[in-house]
Amino acid sequence: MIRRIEQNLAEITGFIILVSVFYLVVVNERWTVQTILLPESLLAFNTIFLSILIEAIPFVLIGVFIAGLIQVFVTEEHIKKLIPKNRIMAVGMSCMLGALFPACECGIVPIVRKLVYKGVPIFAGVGFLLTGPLINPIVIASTYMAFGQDLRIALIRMGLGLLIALVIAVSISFLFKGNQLKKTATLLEPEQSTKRFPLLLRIRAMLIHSVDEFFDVAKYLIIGAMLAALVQTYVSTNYLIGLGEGMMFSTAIMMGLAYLLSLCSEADAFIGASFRHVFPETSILGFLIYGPMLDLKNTIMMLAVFKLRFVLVLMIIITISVFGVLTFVHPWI
Amino acid sequence: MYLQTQQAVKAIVLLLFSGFIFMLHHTGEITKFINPQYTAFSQIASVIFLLLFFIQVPRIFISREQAEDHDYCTILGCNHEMGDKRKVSLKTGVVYSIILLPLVTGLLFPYKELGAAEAVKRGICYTPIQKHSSHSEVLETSNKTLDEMVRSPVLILDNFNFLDYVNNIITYPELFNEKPIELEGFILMDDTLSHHPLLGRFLVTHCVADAHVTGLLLSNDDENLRNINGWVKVNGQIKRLETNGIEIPIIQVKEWKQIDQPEAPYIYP
Repeated sequence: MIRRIEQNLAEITGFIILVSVFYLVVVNERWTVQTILLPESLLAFNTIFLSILIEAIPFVLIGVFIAGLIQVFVTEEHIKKLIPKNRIMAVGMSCMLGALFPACECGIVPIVRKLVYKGVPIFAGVGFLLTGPLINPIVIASTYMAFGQDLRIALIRMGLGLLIALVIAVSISFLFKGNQLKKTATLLEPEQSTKRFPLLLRIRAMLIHSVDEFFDVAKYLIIGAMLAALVQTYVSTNYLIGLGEGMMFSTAIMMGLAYLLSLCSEADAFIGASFRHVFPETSILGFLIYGPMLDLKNTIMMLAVFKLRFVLVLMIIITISVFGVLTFVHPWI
Repeated sequence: MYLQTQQAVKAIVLLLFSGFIFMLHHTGEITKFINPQYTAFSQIASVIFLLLFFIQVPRIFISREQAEDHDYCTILGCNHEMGDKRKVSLKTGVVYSIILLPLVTGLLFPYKELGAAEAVKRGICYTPIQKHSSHSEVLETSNKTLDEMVRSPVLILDNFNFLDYVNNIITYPELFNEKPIELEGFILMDDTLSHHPLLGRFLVTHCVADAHVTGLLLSNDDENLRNINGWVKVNGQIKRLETNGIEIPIIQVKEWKQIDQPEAPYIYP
C-alpha cells in the first residue's frame, strides 16, 4: 500500500495543487488588501507592472518554446551547414531571418542565447536579436495605423532599422570573438547528440527545457517590467520633453524615453505618434527604431545571458549607430 | 523516492500563473490591463502554463534509480538536487520571491484604473496632426464619419466613436463651429499645456502601459469645473480658440454634472 502511494506521489501532489488552485479560481474571491493602507500611486504602479507582464508573457512563452525546440532538435552540424562562411553574408542572412520572424524584444533573448550556444556566431545572433522585434508584419501594420494610415513612416522605420542593424552586426563581428555567453549551470551540460533517444522523450525533454528556460527568463522579465513601471508611474514625460529643444537634443530625449518606457514594439508606434506635435520626425524615428532594439527590460535580460562587457559595448554601439545614422539622414526626412 | 523542493515550487508557480490569468479573464478584469482585441494571446498563455504544469509535476519526485542514473541527464537536463537539498540558498530564495511577486500583488492588491493624476505624467495630445496622406481610400472612410458628423444636429460621443470624433474635431475645427456636443470623461488640469481644463479619456492600444490621453479643452468660465477630481458629463458647443497661431477647438460648457467612473473607463482603438 505504502509502495503504491509512493509510486503515485507525483500524481497525487499535482492533483492536490490543481484542485486548490481550481478552487481559488472558482470561488473567485480575492482577499484584497484594504486600499487605505496603500498610496494611490503604488496601486497605479502595480497595475502598469502587471499589464506589462501580462502583455509580454505570451511572447516570452513562444520564445522559451522555440528555445526548447532548438535545444533538443537543432544540432551544431545543422547550424554549421546553414550559416554562410562569409561574415557579411552571415550578417545579412541573420538580419533577414529576424525580419521574417515575429518576436518581441524580450521573447527573442532566450532564442538568441540558444542559437549562439549551438554555434551561431555572435554577430549573426546580434543581427537576429535586433531585427526580430523591429521588423515584422505586425509592427509595420501598427506603425501604419498609428501614423494616420501613412505608409511613409512605417517604411522609413523598417528601412533605416534594417540598415542600422546591419551596421551594428558588422561592427560586432570585428570587435568580438567567441560566444560571449555567461557560463551558467544550465549551459554546462555535456553536449551530446540527442538523436539516440525516442521522439516522444525528445518532445518531453523540449517541454522540460522550456519550463527551465521560462524560470530562467521570468525573473529578469519581472525585474525589467518593474523598473519600466516605476519610470512610467513616477517620471513625467512632460518633464523630459521640457529638457531642451533642437533636433539632436530631441532625438536623444526620444531615444532615452524609448529606453526607459520599454514598450512592446507592437504598440510603441501609438505612443511615438502622440509626440508628433512636439518633436520633428527624425526624433520620432529615433524612438521607433531605438526602442525595439534596446530598452530597460531587455537590457536586464541580456545581462543575464551575455557577459557584462559585451552587453555594455553592444549598448554603446546601438546608441551611437542609431543616433549617427539618424543625424546623417535627417536632411532627407 | 526523493522530493525535489525547487521543482515543486516551479510546479506551483506555473499553475498559479495559469490560474491568475484564467481568473482575470473569468472576472473580466483583464480589460483593466490589456485591449480586449489581444485577449486571445493571454488566454493561450494561460493554457500553455497549465500544460507546462502537467509537464512539471512528474519532476517533483524522482525515484532512487533515477537519482543515481545519469543516462538521461544529457537530454532531460541534470538538475538532481542531490548534494545539499535540505539547504535552500539565499540566491534561490531571492529568485523565487521575485517570480512570486507579481502573483502576490496581482492576487492581493486592488487594481486601479488610470486617471487624471497619471494622465498629467503622460503626453496629452489636443492639437491637430498634419496629414500628408494621399490615400484616397482612407480619405473616403474618414469622410464618411466626417459627413455623418457634419449632418447630425448634435454630436454625442460614446466609447466607440470617441477617438474618430475627437480626431475629426481637432483636425477640422472650422466644420464644427457652434455645433452642440455631448461627451463624458475625466477632468484634467495641466497648467504647463494650457489654462483650460481638458476633458480626456485614456486610449489603450495594446496594454495599459501604453495608455495615452486624448480629449478636448473646456472653456473655464465655471471655476468649479476646474477643481473636479473625477468624471463629468458635459453638454456644450464647439467654439474655436486661437493660441500661438494654431486654431484649436474648445467646448463652451453649457451644463455639466459629475458622474461615477464608467464600467469601461478606457477606449480601445
